[in-house]
Amino acid sequence: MKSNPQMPDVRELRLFDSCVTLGRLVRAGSAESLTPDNIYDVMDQHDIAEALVHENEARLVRPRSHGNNRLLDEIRGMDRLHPVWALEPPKKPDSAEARGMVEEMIGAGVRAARLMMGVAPPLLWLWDDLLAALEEHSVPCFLDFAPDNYRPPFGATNATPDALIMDSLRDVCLAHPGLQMILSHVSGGLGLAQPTLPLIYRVPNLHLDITSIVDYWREVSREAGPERVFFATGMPYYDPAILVSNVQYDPILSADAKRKICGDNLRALLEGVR
Amino acid sequence: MSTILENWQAGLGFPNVLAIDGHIHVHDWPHGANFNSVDEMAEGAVTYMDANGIDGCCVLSGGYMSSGCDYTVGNDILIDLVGRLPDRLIGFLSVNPNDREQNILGELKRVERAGIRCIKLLNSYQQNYPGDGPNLMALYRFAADHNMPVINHHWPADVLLRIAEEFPTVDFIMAHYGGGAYDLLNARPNIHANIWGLGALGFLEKAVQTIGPDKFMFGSDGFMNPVSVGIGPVVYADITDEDKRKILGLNVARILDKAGALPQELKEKLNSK
Repeated sequence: MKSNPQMPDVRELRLFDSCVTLGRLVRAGSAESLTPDNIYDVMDQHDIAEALVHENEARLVRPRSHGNNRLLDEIRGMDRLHPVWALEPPKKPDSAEARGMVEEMIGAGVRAARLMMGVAPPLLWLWDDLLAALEEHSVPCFLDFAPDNYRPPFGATNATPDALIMDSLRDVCLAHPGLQMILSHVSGGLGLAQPTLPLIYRVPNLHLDITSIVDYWREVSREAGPERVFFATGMPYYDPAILVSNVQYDPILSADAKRKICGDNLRALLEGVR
Repeated sequence: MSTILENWQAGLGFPNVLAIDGHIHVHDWPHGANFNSVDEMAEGAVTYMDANGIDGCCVLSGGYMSSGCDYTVGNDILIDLVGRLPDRLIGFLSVNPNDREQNILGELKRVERAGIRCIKLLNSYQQNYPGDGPNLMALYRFAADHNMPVINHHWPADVLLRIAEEFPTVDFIMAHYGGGAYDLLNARPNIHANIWGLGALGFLEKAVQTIGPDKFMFGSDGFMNPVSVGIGPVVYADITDEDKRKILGLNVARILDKAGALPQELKEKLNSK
């Protein structure tokens, strides 16, 4: 005989989605696009209070500044949406250019970055200037490992970095300990590259979102702490309903831990941006 | 407004709803929340089912289904586990089709005699043994003769259509449904879909709007995954509560009942609906 649970109400958890793609998508068999016209309806349907949003165009088309600026126009006045800029490092060693990119971003009111590491791999010498600039401002960084859109997953945000990439990422994270790095939408098949969780346990500024093959986050939250995990849906590539209830109905985490994962961790990082 | 959604949002699970997860694993896998003993499995199963308000689960073997393992050990564990929670767990035996046919048929008989009435396949991970290869055709014949449903990780559409036609009394359940395949699902009454998959926004709503609710049943790939990965797409879908009840439990309960695999307590709930 089953017993009925008594879990927190999902609305008390104030879900803050950290991985949402805004903009028209054209892909065979793919999702409905999320646009300024429908995104609040989808968020309301799924009890999502707030969301970090990036622009599809900024992820997929250079110069990324076009999509990044388009995003600001699209969500102006939409207080539940928080812009994220997709960034990749300057081609030439140039700390001034990197600093300029970040200051432009901060000046535009953007407090989170999506680092396109599927296109520009996490090599310390490649990212050092940009990460140093981001670290100065304590900008939380979401790591996007999807390759260019000519290859699977053809523009979607989900990708699974391999062991060599994780090895390089270790150097990057350790060189910038003040930068909070979140593995975003890293998922695939029967699991992540084996070193992924061991790396999270060894590098305190590397974190995970809950789209990550939908179960690893539970181990990380229990073993490394709920501060290391961020709620995310990966919508519209994933149906948000798949992930909305995962934290709410976890049988082990405390209500306080659930609130952290569902949104308070992210709110704290955004409030810490200088 | 959906009463089912209201209760779920409020953290109350599924009061007065028959909810059966059609896709649960219990052994080790390369990832996830696993159990190291049958004691742990039984305790963990109750914890996760109760945390989500689930009445019962279709329990499939885990790591022992993989290539190179002795699948009979996995079936032994399954028999032991289901015997500890007979009112809530429905076992799905498994074989490796690369074994000799006589061994496969012998194992099917052994486990079926032990009370396991359903079959799970993972042939695409077992050196990609063809879904209509001779050993699996023999297995489907056994399933037809013994009134057993079969769930598979994946069948190619043409293979599923062929076997569903050749064995019309066997219920074939495609696992990991994440959208589309409407023509396939409509082609035969004995083709069904377990919805656990990383489908895109609105995938289940579209499916129900296109072909109705009767072909779908929720699953989660728990307890590796949170069980709610399968529940969420059902409860949050813009469909009627009647449709949700079917997908959450009634559809799979009818298949299990037909096979004589539905525990008595769940059968009473099914009959009271």
